[in-house]
Amino acid sequence: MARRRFGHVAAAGAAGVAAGVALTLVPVTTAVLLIGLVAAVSTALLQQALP
Amino acid sequence: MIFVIMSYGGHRNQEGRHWSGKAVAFTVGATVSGGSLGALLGLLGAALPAQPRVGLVALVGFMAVLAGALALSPFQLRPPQFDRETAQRWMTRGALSGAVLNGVALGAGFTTRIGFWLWYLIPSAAFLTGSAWAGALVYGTYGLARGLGPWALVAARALKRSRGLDFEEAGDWLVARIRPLRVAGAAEAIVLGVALVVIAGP
Repeated sequence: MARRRFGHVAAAGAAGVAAGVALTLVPVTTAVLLIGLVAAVSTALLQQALP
Repeated sequence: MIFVIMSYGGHRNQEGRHWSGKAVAFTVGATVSGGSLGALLGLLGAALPAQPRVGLVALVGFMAVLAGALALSPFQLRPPQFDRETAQRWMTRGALSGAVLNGVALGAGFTTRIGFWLWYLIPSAAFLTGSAWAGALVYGTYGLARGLGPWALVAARALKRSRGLDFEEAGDWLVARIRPLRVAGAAEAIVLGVALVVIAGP
């Protein structure tokens, strides 16, 4: 179970590095805006499952 | 939330109004609420010079990674939040007012249950853009996406009617999957956190 959790974190970290490297092509403000938009849409979708 | 718009097997807070009018009021309330807060946060962020703001980007990214990792850990750390739903008394203030008030509360997000660490990236990003319009875009998108919830559930109800399902069952189906969704939310917080650290650079 612990190994599986570590796998989740490692995979998410690798995806984050890839996303971060891609976002270095745009100014920091634009990158923050894009990340904020992704967080906004996905959080709203996830919150539909809150009791 | 859907019960503000439409009641299953009853007419609580209906006042004879069609659900679509209340759904529009809810969606507009949520979008305006999120957008206004985002604009305010963006304005506050603009008061901060660019260099420390980039430092804050890295700090927020690091905190997001830490929070996501702790949520995935055996401790399953939950985000600080007001663990409650919107006020029941709003239901007695009239159908449209109730829908607007619920929309405003859910579009802001923080006055009710948050549930996911990921949520904290929204006001943080709105602030870190350092721009009123960009902040409004980020937080307003959150409000809009939450505000569209009733439309999606009503649409799901229409699609599933032929199979004998309704929006209550659609809601229950989602609630039953909260555990894998928490993992997904924590993993996304890590992804976006690492991305923030990388773009802030050394």
